[in-house]
Amino acid sequence: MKAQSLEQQLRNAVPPAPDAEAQMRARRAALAESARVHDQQGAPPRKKESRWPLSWPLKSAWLGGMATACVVVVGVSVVYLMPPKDREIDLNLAMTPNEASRPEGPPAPLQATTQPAEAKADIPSSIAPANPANVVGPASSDVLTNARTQGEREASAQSARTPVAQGAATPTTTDMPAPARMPRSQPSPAFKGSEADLKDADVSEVTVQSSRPTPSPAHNSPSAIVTLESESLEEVRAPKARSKGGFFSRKASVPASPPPAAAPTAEEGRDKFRHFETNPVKRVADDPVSTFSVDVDTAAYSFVRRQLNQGVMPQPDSVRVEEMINYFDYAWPTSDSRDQPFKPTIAVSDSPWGEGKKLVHIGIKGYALPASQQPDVNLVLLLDVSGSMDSPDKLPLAKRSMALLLDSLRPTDTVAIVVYAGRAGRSAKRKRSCARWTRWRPVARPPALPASSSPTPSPKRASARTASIASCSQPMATSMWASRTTRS
Amino acid sequence: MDQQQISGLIRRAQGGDVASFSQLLDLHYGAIYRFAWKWCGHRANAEDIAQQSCIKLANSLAQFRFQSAFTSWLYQLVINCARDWQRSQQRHDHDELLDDMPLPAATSRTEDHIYLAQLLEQLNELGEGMKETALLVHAEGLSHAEAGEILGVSESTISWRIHTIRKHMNKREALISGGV
Repeated sequence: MKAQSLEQQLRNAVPPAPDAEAQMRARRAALAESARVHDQQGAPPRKKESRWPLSWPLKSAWLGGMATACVVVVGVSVVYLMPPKDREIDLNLAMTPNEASRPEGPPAPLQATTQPAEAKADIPSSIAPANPANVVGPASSDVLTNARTQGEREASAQSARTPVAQGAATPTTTDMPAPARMPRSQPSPAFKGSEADLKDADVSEVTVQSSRPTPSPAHNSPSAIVTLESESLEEVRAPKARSKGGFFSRKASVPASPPPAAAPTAEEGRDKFRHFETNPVKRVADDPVSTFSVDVDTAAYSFVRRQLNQGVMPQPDSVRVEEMINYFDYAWPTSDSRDQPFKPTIAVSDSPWGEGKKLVHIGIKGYALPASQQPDVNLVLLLDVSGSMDSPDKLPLAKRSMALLLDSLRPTDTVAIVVYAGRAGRSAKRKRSCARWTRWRPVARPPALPASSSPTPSPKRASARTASIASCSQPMATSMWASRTTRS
Repeated sequence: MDQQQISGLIRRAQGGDVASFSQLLDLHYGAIYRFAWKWCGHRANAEDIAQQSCIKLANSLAQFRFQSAFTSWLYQLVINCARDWQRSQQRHDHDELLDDMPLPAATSRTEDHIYLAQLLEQLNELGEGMKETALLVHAEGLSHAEAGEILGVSESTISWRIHTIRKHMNKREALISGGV
């Protein structure tokens, strides 16, 4: 929106002609009001003093007396109604809920991992080109647009089409504790014994069986270092989650089970989000060039869902419309070979906003490497287990997420975990004393994958093999609306 | 109808002449409605505001003392009504604009309405008085002095507001084109 066009825009917006009926209504109402006003004016003016025949000094004395009497009566009645004994009892009662609300034991976040993960929702493919004959090539000069508000539009369109997707979004919220605000008392088992705690985590995680080989487009980077820290965790996990069958493919399966007692509003408030303006609808004449991002994040969705599950209102800036939409799988066709890095899906429809105009919807999805060609994953998780991680949305969340990660691993993948907990004064020894490597593989080999069919190339070779396609092998789901004037 | 006749009309209406008041309403309803529409960008809401303004006009016409132009006084009155209306709506105004979009039958004006709605939203965010200032100066074509008189602020305040609005729009433009 250009500043020069501000005046134009305000002038250009021509109001629709006033509705005659509305005008008549307003006129009737105004005339009635006018009649009322003039009736009142015609009537003899009221004598305001008539209600208080007393002269002012007398009156004020009388009022003052009344006020004093009221205060005395109220004071006496309060004292009378609250004998000292009762008051003590009251105090005791007031004390107990505090104690009662303290949790019995430390929360067990890892129990969450045993919950059945909900299957990912498959959105029916309904965005196929409605009328291919109408498809407007990307070359048309006045294709415009922006990814964000379209997002909004698409949201409404999508929600109409894909009840399944909505269903996938909601189940976790239904598990939400009914009262949004739970007692504030903090469970917080002190996290100083973090080593022991991590051992716990290891045990339970390793025994979880890897259920199936997940075709994982994210597998193509054979080794990755993932730093698991409080805030970054969601960001690390969620972008991958977008890809169907992706590395963390169980999208809807983040357990809804942080203990309900954990509603740390104050803690959540410290997360910082960059403010983004939602893109407006733009005029093609003013803004003919449109860009859109191929790299689609979905972290906002996970973040918002987690906050809602904890009974906390997410911050406005953490709710990013396009991520709410792109979280869901569009089920767009992918390209067949890696020679075609992505496949566009284009739909054209009449614009609801302009006569004789068209809306063009362009979605692209990147080539996804078949599961059989995916190299093994070698993950190194760097886990901060220091005391500052001791809140439900930090280390416990990281542990839950790692449990989810197990489901999508294949028997041939390897995971290493590095933990560190810095303490002041020991930074020199940190390397030796605080770093600990745990190397493990999922125990069970899933039956669906014959051992022979999954050759395990060495990480180095795999890296060479996939490097050329690494940049585009993750399915890209992004969308774009364009508006075009038909000049036929 | 020239200024003289309108003054006569107002005086007679103040005296209780129904026909004169009715004529005065008919003369100004269009302007009231149009200003209300630009204020809120919404047809039904504009009709509400216009009706409230008409009722208020009936109520307070007697207080018009001919010290300023009648139109300025009327602007003031409509702005007050619009603010009252907005306050009363604040509890339940979610997607009124979206709901109001005439989806099935689009006209060539519909896009302009969308742009206006976006603009109004930004002006609302800028704070008290900004939207009124922009509407009076840009849409109604009043001078800064006239707008200042209507809004009860000095001319330089109006100039400052106009400058602030322009700066904000520029900044936002840069943010959006650079941010995607």
